[in-house]
Amino acid sequence: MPKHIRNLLLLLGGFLLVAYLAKIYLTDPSYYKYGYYRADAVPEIASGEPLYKGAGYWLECHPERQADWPTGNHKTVACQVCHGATVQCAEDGAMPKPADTIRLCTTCHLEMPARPARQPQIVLGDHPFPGEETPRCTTCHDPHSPENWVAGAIDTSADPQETVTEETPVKAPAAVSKCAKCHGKQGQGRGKNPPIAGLEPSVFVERMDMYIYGDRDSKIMERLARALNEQEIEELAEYYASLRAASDE
Amino acid sequence: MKNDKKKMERRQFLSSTGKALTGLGIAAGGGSLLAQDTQEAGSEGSKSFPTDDYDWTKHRWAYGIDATKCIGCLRCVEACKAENDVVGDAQHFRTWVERYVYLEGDEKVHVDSHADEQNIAASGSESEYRFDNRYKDKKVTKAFFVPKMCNHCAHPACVQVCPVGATFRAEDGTVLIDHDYCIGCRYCVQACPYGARFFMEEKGVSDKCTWCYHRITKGLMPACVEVCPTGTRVFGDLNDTSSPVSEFIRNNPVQVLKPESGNAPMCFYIGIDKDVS
Repeated sequence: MPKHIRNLLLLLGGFLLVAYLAKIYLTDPSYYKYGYYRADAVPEIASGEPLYKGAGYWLECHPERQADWPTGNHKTVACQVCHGATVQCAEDGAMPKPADTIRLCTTCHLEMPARPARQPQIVLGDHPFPGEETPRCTTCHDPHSPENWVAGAIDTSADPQETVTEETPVKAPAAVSKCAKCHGKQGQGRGKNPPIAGLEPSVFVERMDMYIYGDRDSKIMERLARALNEQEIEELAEYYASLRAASDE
Repeated sequence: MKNDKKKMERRQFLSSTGKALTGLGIAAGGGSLLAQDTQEAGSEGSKSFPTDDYDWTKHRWAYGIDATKCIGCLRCVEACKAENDVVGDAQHFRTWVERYVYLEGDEKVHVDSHADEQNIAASGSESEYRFDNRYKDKKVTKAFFVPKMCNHCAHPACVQVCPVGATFRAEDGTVLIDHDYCIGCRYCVQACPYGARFFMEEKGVSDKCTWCYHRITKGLMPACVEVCPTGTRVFGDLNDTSSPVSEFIRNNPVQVLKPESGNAPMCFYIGIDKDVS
């Protein structure tokens, strides 16, 4: 054959040989073992140290939390959510306390259109009393079981009276503390919350039903009304009807 | 005379080509024998792979997401970043959350994610994440959050396009990346239909969610599943019919993102609607 063809073919053959030998030499020996990848990579990836520690780890050193956190409303909220994603044990054994609780709590609890209705949500400036500035969340709510109030935070003078007086001829039912917080001890209303003293019992019950079925627009009242049963609503209606309305004085 | 000379040349050409090809063939055969030797030595014995306590042939991982429960708190994003040492800024993430909002009188859906500039401005920092409340005073007819991440597809497009075999599907269903082999061409980042992969400029390789492989091979849950406060994220072994994800799939009508792409993703969703893709 002509020399130039022979030389070209030899050159090509030489390159192919070198390439083939290089591939065999340079390919990792574990390649092709399970597929077109380096099989040794899998144990390498699997050998990382897990950083994130579950609740069990923290509860071991903080047994005081075993009493409230695992049964409270925040039992699905891991310690790291509030204390920091990279939290490690401090030398004195204390968990770093979040500084700005309003910013922290509103991460999950700020009212937002996309959040599902079953998530408790608040509007700043409307909670707990409409028109008043929202105080630090931990003033009233125990962060480890938020359905429990911090001792001394709530005005408990609105709790049910044991005796019947001229002012309260009907014994106040247990649920009255929930209403008194926003509507006042005598049901006289507070801020934007209307007075409820002196309402006809049938009107009271009807309005509570309307809150339950969404015919009256108020997220807070909807939630509170749904938390009461029929008997409690009737007892509250009786109680508030017995109180003199503010306009009667 | 002239013809004879040509015939001789042709014969010579054919015989020398034949000899060359035979020579190459012998070289190839010898080379592959060499390669086989090293392979057989490696696969000797029946040791559990990849670790002694974890046999990947015994598991088939899958992930479930209930978008009706997500509150968009973004704790999953932060936990993932801490666990997997992901780059600290807002544009690098292994998992993310999108918000879909329908306004009254508007046919088009409004989508934003935690990496959106307005949201970053609202959170005040590139490494702490919050959704802003831009729809607070608007008339919203429907809105929800959708968490997303690598779907660890059964027929992954990213694996198919990788030129060097740096990304692959492990026998237990996870799609992993070999950072030593990755050359940083970003073909996989382009190929993924879900936008789950990203490029790490400093390391020069691509990265993505690995379902916390270093955790699941030790019997733990991925960090995002552990931290989620509402139970939106569910993970487990499909081979175990009582695992959380098997029950999730059995008890709910589930769907996947972009089924028409042919990737066969292994992340199953409840509660996403027509505009989520």
